[in-house]
Amino acid sequence: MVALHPEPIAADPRSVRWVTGADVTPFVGPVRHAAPPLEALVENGTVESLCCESDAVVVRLGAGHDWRTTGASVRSTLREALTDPQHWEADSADQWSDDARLEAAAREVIAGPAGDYVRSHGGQVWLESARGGRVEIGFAGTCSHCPAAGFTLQHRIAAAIRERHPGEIQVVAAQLEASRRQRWLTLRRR
Amino acid sequence: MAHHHGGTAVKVASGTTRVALVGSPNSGKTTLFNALTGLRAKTGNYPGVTVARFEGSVRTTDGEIVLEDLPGTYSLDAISPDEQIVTQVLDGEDLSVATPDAVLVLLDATTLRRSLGLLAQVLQVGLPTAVVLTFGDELARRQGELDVPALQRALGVRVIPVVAGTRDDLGVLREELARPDSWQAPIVPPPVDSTELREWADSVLDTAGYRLPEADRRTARIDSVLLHPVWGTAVFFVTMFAFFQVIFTLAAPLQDLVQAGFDWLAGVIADNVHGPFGGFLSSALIGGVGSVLVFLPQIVLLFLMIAVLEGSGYLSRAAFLMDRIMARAGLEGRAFVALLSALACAIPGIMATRSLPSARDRIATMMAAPLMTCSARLTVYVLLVGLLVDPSTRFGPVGAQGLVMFCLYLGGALAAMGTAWLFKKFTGRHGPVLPFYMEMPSYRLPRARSVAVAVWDAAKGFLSKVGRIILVVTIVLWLLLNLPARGTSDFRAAGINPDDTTATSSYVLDHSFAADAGRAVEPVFEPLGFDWRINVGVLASLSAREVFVATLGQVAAADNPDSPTTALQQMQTPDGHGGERKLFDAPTTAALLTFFLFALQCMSTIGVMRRETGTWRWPAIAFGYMFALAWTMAFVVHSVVSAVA
Repeated sequence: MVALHPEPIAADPRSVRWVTGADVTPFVGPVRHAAPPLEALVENGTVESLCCESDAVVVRLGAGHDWRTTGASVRSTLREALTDPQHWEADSADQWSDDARLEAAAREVIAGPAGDYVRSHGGQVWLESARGGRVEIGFAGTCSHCPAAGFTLQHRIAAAIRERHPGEIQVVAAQLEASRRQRWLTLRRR
Repeated sequence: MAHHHGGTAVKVASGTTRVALVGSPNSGKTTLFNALTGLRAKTGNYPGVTVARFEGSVRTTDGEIVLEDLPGTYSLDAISPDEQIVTQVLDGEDLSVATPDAVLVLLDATTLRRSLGLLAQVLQVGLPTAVVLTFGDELARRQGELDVPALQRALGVRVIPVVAGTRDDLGVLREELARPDSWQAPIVPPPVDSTELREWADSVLDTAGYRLPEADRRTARIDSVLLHPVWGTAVFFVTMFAFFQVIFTLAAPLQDLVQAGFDWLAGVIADNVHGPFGGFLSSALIGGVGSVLVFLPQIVLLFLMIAVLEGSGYLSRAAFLMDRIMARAGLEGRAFVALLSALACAIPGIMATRSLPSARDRIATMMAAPLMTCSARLTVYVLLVGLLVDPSTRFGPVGAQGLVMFCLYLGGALAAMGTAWLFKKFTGRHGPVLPFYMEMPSYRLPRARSVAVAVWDAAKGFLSKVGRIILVVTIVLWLLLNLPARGTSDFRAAGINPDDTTATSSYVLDHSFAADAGRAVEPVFEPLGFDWRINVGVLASLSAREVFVATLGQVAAADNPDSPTTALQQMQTPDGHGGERKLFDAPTTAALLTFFLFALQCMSTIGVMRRETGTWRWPAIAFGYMFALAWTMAFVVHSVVSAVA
């Protein structure tokens, strides 16, 4: 069965991330049609929109509905719908691809606690590319000179991406173009 | 057994914020409660049930709040009355008990999966909730893993890791406790359905990167010996032997020291204070209260050892080893701890029943505890065995006196087990059968503070409660034994030389109110061979058994009220056939010993039983049952010994 738990989204009280773990959501990105029982909730206005992430489904309730009363029914319906991935419809076929899933996982990690950690240390982190099982992560700011950057990449970012996208993937630091490399004042003669 | 810092039952002022503490047994709940409330806890009972209630005020960074320590429970599915209390307190619609403003749930990091079930049920209630995560240090030591911020995100409520007793962690907790109204209920409460609930717990633990702690190797190694069928039992008996050695041997010099202090005091009083007031001071205060205070070292040592055994985790193992034997009486291993405590005094024994999760077991154990041979019976036994058995009688290497004493201890234990079995059967129709669950905590070094609090509480409780009762009773008894007051004219009229103090005091005693009372109950005790003088002693010992020794001394007008053996041996009484017989002949003394073995002659025990059960019903039943048992058994013994002799 599907192991689920809800996590609130601070910026939007009507939305909840239902964390499912890796490889449960049928695809990533906006949902056009969900499997029948869940789709019924969308049709009757209880649910306004659905969006799949690599390890979660973000459910936004319709106006006038609140989580405390509808939470339990959304949970069991979602649970049931997730066991029936064939009946979900995405906006585009790309959303079903492995590359899309890997890219979503990497973006979520960078937006999540692992990315927060880098930013809290004055670093900048972004996704350069995610293709064919290879993820390139760009670093800047304090990260560019930090001896622990490699450790952070492997133990925080890569580990978190692997949790959302199990299987053989490679996570590397992107080789930055000179233009994106931060220039520091230096006394050294160039 | 939970050592709460005891105190008097006081209603906490309403209007202050009330936070309830919920957690499973052994989650460190009581340690945290004691650490947060310090020495300002109040105990009481929930209305109408035998569940102890603990409340204390906590100083937060923003004023005081009231913290209520709910009984330890594994779930809110009310099986036992204790769990029912937790459910009732958290249920806003139940008006019999006040619902708290917020809930603090304790999760043991080493048993997180099981604890989540309880948390889920609390979260379903919907009160503002925060989680305190305990034993994170032990999880780390045993190479477990847990991402606390992730756990907090997944649970949707604040999670505060606390290593019990660490000041910094408590500081964070005090800050949180200052504003429980800011605590949140999760956006969607956890599911009710058991499958969905299990999935929810899986999902939460997965997100929090929870890795189960390895089995504690140190604990496993120690347990392989201590729970071994042969070695474990051997260690257990050695421990118990050492336990009694400490209580009865190590305490002896300390007891002598207290006794010496009172002897000195008695000497000072005898030299300086004369007249009735001097008599009052020496017999009532020194004889009565002093003879009880002598037992303080035993009480302190007993609680010190129990606290150390409990804090280290061995007491759970001892209870586990005793479980099979206790099961024959229909009790579980934990009741063993209570009965063990009752060997010093029934009061700590009865208080120790708080650790029993089932109210039914609690009642049965409470009924059994007063039958265990307490230290107060010891004084009476020593006196009476001395009268019954010649010290030179021996069976091979074993002294007969010691053998009789051993039989009395064994008899008490057997009577206790039998009573527990009887009451378990008797109350069984009303309560549901409870599943048995006992947890073996890891071996830990006992916390000095917990040990100190337990010992301090025991000593304080013993001094104040028992001391108060015995003081009052002794004063009343002294008055009854010395009133109505007699003057020189009374003595002359009765043909007694007013200067002969022994004769006059004997006359006062013979015609005192107490003597009237002793004669009034003669019909009840005559079949046992008791005369009015023993009756006065028995009546007086209803307050506390030790009083029997001092009272009999006064009644016998012996020179030394604390060792009246010689005077008592000579005492005569009419034999009913126109002749005289020795009052303390073999049948009477044996009957008296038997009576003391079974009877509930202790007002403090009755008072504590009333406090712990919240009703007069159980102490009344216990008193009636034990009196009937004592009388019947004493009658049987009297008849058998008479026939043999």
